[in-house]
Amino acid sequence: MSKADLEAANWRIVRAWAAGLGLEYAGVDLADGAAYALLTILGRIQLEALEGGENGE
Amino acid sequence: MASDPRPILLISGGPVTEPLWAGLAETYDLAFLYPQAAQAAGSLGLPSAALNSIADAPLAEAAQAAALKLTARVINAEDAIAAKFSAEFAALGASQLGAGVGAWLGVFAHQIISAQVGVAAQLERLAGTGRRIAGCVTHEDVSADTRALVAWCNAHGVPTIHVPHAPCHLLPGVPDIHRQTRARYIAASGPAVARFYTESGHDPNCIFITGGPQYDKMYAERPGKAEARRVLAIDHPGPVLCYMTTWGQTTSLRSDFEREFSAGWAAVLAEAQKIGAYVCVLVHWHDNRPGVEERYVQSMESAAVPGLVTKNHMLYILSASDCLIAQGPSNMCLEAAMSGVPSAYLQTEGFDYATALPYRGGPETIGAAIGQALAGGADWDGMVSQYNAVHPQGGAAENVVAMVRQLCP
Repeated sequence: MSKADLEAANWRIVRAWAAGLGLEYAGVDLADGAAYALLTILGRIQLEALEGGENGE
Repeated sequence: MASDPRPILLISGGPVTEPLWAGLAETYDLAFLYPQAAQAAGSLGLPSAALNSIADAPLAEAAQAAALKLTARVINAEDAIAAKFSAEFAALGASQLGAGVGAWLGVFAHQIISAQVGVAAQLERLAGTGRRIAGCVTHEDVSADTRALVAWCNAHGVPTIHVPHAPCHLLPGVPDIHRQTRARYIAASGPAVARFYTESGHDPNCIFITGGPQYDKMYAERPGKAEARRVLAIDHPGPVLCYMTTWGQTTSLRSDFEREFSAGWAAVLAEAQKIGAYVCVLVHWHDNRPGVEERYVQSMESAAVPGLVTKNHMLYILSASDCLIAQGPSNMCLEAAMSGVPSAYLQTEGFDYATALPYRGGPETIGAAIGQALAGGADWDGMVSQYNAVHPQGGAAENVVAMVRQLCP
């Protein structure tokens, strides 16, 4: 498993996790607005798992 | 008869927008996403308010209720969402990465939905007052609140303008959220920045090259080398180096993070020892690891390399330095060049300046890159012009203000 594979999986999750939930308010796609925070969380979890918690922000 | 009120311009309020405030306020009343920016603009006597000042208790309550209902949809679907995570990571043979989603999903959803619904509800209220919203200017549109601001405007026919807070040095073809701007128009600081957004799929007809307003201050009066060294109490016969640290941004997994930072710093320290340099360590303002400054102090003491460590006094430290060495392709290299200071940087995966300068290398070759930078003679003005089209005169803020007036009548 490479980091590129993981990143690709993260992006698929970011695009799909809220599908069908109707997360929209006043024309704002709330799942799209969640992308940055979700990528950050996934990255932190994965770096800790892969590299023993020493890395990341 | 009372005259029509002036149009409202929505503005995020990040530091890059500050040089625009006075010019924009000649035409618009400014509604800031960031309350602290509204306070700062107000203290300058500019017609401005915080967007959230429109929210009374009933509006806040209604937005909170709407956010809770939307969050409930996520929580009710938690098992199905967790299964999506598990399936992705199991397919990679890393099932453990898909575990524990339920521990954070609800809180995450509540925070991220509340932030966006709050902004959108305030915008709905503002629109309902009958005041005309002429446009929206933001320094970024990847985080939840700014993206909600831009999304609402796009959905309601309000022109949106992104004035990027910094050039992004991603290599062509490398996917990253920073490519995904949602604003319709971009004020690119220079041709290299315009190319980045064009390569990222943005309509080139919606990209204007304006110069970077955040750099205008670099062309104002700044301390000379002698003054900067006197103020910082640097009295050293050899070269003075500035080492700019970085931080682990985990929206991507590129770089080796801490290992890479440690190897880079060790190489710079070794080179400083070799050439008898004084080192100013400028710790990145996003690096909040406890005791980080002390770690640099201790390693310099152990290596008997004189120097200082700080998160502040950037202009003075740059002016005092003979060369900047950045951990990664930092935009500090650009600001250093504007100050007449050459630079080199430690490369990291997926990023590089699009120009031949600054000099660059890995831990094994950064010493040679530092040597090249210290030798002088390179065309730093040519490099800067790619990232700041108004170099070396400055004055980008006027260009951006004119662009906003044109697009947001």
